[in-house]
Amino acid sequence: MQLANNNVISYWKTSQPEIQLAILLFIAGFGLELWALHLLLNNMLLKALIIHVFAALHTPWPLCKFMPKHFRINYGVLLLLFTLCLFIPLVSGICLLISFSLGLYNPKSINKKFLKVNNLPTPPGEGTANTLSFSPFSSGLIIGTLKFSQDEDKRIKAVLATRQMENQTSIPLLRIALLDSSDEVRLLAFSMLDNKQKKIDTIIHRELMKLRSSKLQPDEKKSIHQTLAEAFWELSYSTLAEGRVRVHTLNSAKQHVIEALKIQNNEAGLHLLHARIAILLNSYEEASNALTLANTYGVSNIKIASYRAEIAFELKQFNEVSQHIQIIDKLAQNNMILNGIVRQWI
Amino acid sequence: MDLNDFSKLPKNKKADIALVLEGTYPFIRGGVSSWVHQIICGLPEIEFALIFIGDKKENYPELKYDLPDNVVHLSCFYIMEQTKVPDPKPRKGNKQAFSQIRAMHDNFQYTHDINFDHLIGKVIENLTNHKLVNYKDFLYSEEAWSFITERYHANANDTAFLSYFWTIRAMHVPIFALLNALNKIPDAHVYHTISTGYAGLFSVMLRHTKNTPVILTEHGIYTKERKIELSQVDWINDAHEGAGSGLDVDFGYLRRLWIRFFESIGRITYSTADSVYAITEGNRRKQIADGADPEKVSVVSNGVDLDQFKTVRESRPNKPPLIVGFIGRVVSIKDVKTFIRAIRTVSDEFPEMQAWIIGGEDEDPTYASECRDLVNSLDLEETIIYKGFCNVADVMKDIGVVVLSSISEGLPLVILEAFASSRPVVSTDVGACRELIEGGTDEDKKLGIAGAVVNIADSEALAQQISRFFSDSEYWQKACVSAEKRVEKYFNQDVLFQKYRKIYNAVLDH
Repeated sequence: MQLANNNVISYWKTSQPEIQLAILLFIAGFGLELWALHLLLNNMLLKALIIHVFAALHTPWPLCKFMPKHFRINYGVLLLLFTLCLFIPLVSGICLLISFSLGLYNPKSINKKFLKVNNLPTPPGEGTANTLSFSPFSSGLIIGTLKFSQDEDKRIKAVLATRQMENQTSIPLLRIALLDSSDEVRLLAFSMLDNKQKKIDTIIHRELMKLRSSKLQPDEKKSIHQTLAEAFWELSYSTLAEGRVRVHTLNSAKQHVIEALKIQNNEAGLHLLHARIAILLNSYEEASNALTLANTYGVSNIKIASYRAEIAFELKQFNEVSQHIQIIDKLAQNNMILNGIVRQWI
Repeated sequence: MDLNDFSKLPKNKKADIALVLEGTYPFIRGGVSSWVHQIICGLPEIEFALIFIGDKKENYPELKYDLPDNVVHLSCFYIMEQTKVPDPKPRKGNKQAFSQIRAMHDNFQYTHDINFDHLIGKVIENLTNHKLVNYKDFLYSEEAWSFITERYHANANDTAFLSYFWTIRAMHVPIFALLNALNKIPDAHVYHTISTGYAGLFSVMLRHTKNTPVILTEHGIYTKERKIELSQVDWINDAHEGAGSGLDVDFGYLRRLWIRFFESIGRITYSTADSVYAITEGNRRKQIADGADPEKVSVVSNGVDLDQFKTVRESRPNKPPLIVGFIGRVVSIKDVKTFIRAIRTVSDEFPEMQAWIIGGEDEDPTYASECRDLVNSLDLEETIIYKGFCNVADVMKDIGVVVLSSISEGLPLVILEAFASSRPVVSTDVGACRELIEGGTDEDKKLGIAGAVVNIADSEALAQQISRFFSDSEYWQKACVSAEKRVEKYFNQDVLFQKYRKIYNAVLDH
């Protein structure tokens, strides 16, 4: 029989012939129970009992067949149904069939709206106050650990701590780690630097591919040139690119910023970026002109003053340096580094 | 040829040596593969069986070497292939067998038991005797479930259980794949594994099931390389990472678990191998630090076929040809990008120079494509020439300086080949490169400096050293002479063959 071949726990799969067989068995069981009742009423107790047991054996399997497919049936369930049919003759089979049909095929609906959420108070620490604007890490401590700690694990942790820092701060630290005596520290620092480089290289490659398309609108073209200029600038500014590669990178950044400006000349941010690139390429006149344009299109005097001071310093026009520094005096009051520079020059 | 079913080995006959290889020869070119090929060709009287372990078959589509006649068998196993998972059924699991597995894990984590070998042997015996512990027990038994949950509560309850559970599953599936492969392995007099990792673990299984000696030769340090790889991969779902602050920021638990997994199988291999060989003194020290018995570990250096490079050595020009050669696979561990950046600088000074990249790009196509993008973005399309795989002796005559920009190496064969061709090498300070270029012993140092050593990932220093050789012919000549003398004196491949012949014969004669 099918049941005998099944494992202890199995999914009940009912086919059409099985259903027909189950109905027949259930009717046979029911008929046997009626016969047993008839014998009982005629005082043939032993015969009635034997027929009743036989009838009870017919019922559990058909009952299981009427249960929904996703219910797991095992020998325990069959035994329970048999026991019920044995001790509550006739009634149990019918009652079980009705209760299965009503209960299992029409389960009680789940009330999904049993919980109502009213205005929750803001949890502590998630208020509207500004988040910390500075890194909780000290590059001094990391440098100290990398240079002087004898413990390799501590040096590895120092390298890992740089993951929480800005590129410009973390990259010089990772370069220190590249000189470590331990292979593990060196290789970890290398792979972290490589990942940073890869992220920017991916942007450059993606944008250069877009640029090859001939169907670009001027707006799209300008946006691609701007992204490229910023990516090349990031390589240089974050010190990922060094030496001649840095010069090449800056030249590429400059080329793209100029292309972007050809399409939209009134964007102040692009002029400022142009100026900053030109300063690093030692093209001070070009930088100065770009700063003037940035100023014309909206960048404040205070913001460009530090760059003008830098140009003046590089050109050894030291009187001009202090003039420009005076402009950033207000801005410097809340900035420790700038404040130091201002105090030095004024 | 059906690569999984190649055997010239008669039934009931043992191969002399079975080489257990993970992700290298004969499907991948590189330093380790060249070494294996060199050993097989150099010892023609010995019959070799090759047991290759790879991740997925699709990654190893074709043989990269013509197999020498003394290779009598090749078996390939792919441990990351999708296999059918058995249907879930409840099972108890063998209590005693699991208690031994518990003891083994305790040993990895907390203690260093002196009976470690015995314990490993017992666990492997239980695993190979399928009635005690099998794959179904690992997947569905109550014992396995209670072991996993118990370890989770003890060590990792700040990690999501689902991530922990599936990490454990992913970690163990290759082990069962290796266990399944055990009965398909030919008998051999010695199993010689060329790394720890899965190849090492498989050799340990073979050691315990076939009671056959195991030799380990490591070129790099497998565990170290895995550790670096695992510290950066993003497929490990460690949400907890980076949540701390300051120097307490650490790897997440799952990442550490993976690292410890490879450290543990490394330790098992060191502990079980009858003898361990390193190719440099530095690697020997590292193996001992990682758990190898100092008594078992010795150094056998690489060697090179001097005759193969005789013509190029003898026809050395007076001035360096303005061609820089990078010889190696285009993969991240070789740091080809630093080489390319260095060329940007050198080519500004020597616009007529060329840089040749000689090596396959098929092993890591993503990285190779990134390198090509870098060449384009640095406008070096005319300067950097991709030569593909070439015979080193053929290209060496045109090259002035050989560059090795790797971030990790053992004792790179390419340096020996450059020296045998009488060419200086500018290399990063990894593995035995400094020893090779500047000399190891005092006597060796007297032979002079055969190139230059720079820090890893320092393209400017690399460029500076290349430019120095290009601009100073006398300096270049001097380095060439030192290179030639050093390789002739210390790195003749006949010495390598003699040593391995002795090692193999010692076991075969038993």
